[in-house]
Amino acid sequence: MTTLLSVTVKYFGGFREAGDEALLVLEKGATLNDIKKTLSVYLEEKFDGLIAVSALTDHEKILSEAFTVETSCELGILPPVCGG
Amino acid sequence: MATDIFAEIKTTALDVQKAIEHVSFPSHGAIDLFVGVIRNNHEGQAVSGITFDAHPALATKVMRKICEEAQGLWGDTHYYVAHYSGYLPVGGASIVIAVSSPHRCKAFEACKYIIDEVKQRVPVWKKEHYVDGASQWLPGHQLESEI
Repeated sequence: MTTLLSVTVKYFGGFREAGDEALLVLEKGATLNDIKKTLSVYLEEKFDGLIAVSALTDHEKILSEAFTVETSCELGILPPVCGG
Repeated sequence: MATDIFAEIKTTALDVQKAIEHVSFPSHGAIDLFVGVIRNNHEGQAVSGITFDAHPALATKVMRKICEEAQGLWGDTHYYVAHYSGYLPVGGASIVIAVSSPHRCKAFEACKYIIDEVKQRVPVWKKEHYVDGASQWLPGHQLESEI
């Protein structure tokens, strides 16, 4: 049986143009790629390029490719940075 | 937590004097100070200001890590790094970095290391506002899994 989980993705940088966050529903075991694909459907097409080059965080670290969604959680999507 | 490193994201005006005071140390004869300020132009466009967005927790953590790396490269150095989050008009200070060391060479080199790494690794973003009313988020450096 498929377990569905809710994943909140907080927006940063250029994603702020779309609001504050996305509320996604993903299957348990979803990968970073799955999250990005679902976010791409959630957002307008103009964000596809930005999604592709952005990192995801659990607010403590940048998530590695090995990450999978195991519980409902909140993540952040971080576009390329330009501080200073 | 080492007290010779201070890093934070601020939503109030950055304080250069506070930076100098933080890194001042009796055996340190050099303080190098870097202040990033908003330019009135960028790639031929007249700029009126910049809005900075940040992930405060991660940004603070990464700035601290960068200072620790610098301390490993240039021993006996103290650090203060504060980055602004919010809107700043032209002339506003977006980042203040102070590094102290016994002699000037290490302070200069470490300070350059900090600002170069901040630009590449710290989760901060700029939305540039132009005099003609337009605005845009600037491109940047893609984050790696280890920042």
